[in-house]
Amino acid sequence: MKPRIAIEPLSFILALLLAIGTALLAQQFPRTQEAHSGPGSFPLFLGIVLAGLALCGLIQSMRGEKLHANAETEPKTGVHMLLLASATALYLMLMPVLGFITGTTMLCMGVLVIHGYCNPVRALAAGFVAAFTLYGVFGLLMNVVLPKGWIG
Amino acid sequence: MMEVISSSAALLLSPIVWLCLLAGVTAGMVVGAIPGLSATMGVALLVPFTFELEIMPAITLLLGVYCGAIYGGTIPAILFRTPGTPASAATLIDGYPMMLRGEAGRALSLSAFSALIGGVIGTLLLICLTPQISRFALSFGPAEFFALAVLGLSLITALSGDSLLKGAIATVAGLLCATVGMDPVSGYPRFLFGSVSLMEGMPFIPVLIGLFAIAEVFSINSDPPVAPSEKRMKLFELPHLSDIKRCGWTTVKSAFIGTFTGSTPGAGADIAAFLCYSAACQQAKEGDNYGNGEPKGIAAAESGKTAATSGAMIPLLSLGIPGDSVTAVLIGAFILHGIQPGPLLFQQHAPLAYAILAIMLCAHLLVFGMALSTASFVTQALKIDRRFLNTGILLLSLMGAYALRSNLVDCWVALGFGVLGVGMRRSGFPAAPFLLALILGGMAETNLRRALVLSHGSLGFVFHRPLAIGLLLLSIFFVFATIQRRRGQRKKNG
Repeated sequence: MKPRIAIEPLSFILALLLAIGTALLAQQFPRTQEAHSGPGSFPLFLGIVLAGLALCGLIQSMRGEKLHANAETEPKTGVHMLLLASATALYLMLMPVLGFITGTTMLCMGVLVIHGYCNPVRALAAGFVAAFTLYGVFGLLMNVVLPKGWIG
Repeated sequence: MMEVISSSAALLLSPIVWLCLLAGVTAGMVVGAIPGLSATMGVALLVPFTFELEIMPAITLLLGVYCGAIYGGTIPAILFRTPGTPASAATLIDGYPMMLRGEAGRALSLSAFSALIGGVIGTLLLICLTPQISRFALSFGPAEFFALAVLGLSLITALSGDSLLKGAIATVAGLLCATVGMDPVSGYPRFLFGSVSLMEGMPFIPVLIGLFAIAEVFSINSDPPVAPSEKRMKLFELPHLSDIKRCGWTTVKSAFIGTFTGSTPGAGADIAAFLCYSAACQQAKEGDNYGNGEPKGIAAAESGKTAATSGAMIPLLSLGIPGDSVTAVLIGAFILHGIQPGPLLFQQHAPLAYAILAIMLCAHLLVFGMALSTASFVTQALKIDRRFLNTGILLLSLMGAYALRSNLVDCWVALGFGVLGVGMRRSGFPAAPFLLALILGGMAETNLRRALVLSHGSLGFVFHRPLAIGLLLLSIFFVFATIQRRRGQRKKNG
């Protein structure tokens, strides 16, 4: 139960920060003569509502009240998710440079390894098959413009 | 009349029409099953292929894709918690837990059956009520549209899981997310942070892909899904009789709600699916276990969204205005072939109009047949090594997000919402209210502000519109009913 206790107040704090940020930014939008129709009026209203709700949640979780949330209670490490997210982010940064097929092959191989697949040669082969299949479907059949990069 | 019927039958008896229907439904189911490829995209992609065809086979092909894609999204939603289309996101709430219980075949066959009932009822309503419903939907002004959005948002309370507060926060966050992009009234750019790609607003499909598909891949599944046993899965699995009895009324009711929602311009199958699911949750009886594999949840969502496809055809055929984005593309296809949809369609091209209605009915029947006959085959996908499956889903998700506009920003959005989705799951924030609020946010803000401008800033605009008052009162009733029911349940559980 430990991760849930830590993550619940944190999520409310993040929601509160989002609300405050939104409200501050919304006030910088130009104000028309009819204030109700200005571009900032709706976000400002939502920001205030979100701040109120997040504060309620924060106070409740500080008091230790059970929110009856269906939160995942198993203590899980975030390393797996971080690795996957980092690999995907790296792929998105490198794909325009390396090209679609090279980038996708590398991502496929990397994700398989992160998922615990131990045979790198097979992972590489799977990556090539996946990359060429996606290239065929999206690039050739559907005419989606895919990044060519240096290698292709 | 007999002449019209015989001319319609002559159009329908052409073998090319049936070939086009089969090809369209098959292509639609494949397109719908791939995350990121929407029904709109599938129909738009096939329009150039219809240039050489006659009007009837051409429209049949496109209608087949439409109906196939709307159902196709359900398959990955139930099997992998990855909705192929936005409309399927409501189905996974109960479909995926059923799959985890080893009831994938039951969930798929029930979804196909509910989709058939929804489709048939929707099409019958399309035939009978086209002029009436269109007139009703056209009488909607900004106040009514705003009230309709509020009604949709009030139904979110039923999707909030165990914590209403967290559901409300997710809803407001979704509404805030919908404000990203150009202001719908003044055109002023909001919350763009220098990104031109977000000018059109937060791209909906990448958000959906991120929250559901990528979040699923990023989450560690300690309990791998249970593949259905060979004994339980048959080659042609029919829906269980007990499920049909249990879900019958919910299916029929959702078909009516779905048709009405679909016929309202701007509200498509995705909104219909969530509205029907929420309405079913609101009227939950003792023993119903929504969110944890309740068959009624699948029936409501599937029936509603399929009925909405027929509903969306109502304003198209009778008034020449699109009910959703797919029918907007369909209008283009009609015009390409020299036919102007609208009030004169049934007068000038009556045989064609009635043949289209008949083919719509046949498309739903074919989708049902194909869904049942392939249920056994598609559930074999569950036996694929989970590591390869997750990698495939991640790649397809990223490609689906990218293919929308050939823009890497959409992939970044999907990745960001994937991480957010994992965080929301871990902290118990429901993703469905966020998604529905994102869909309804634009509609709510635009129409509220339009109504305020028309009434010179006075909130009293509501009191001059009886329909808007009715919808708002219904919203208040739904919220209070949900709160009361939750209190009752809590007292019961001690």
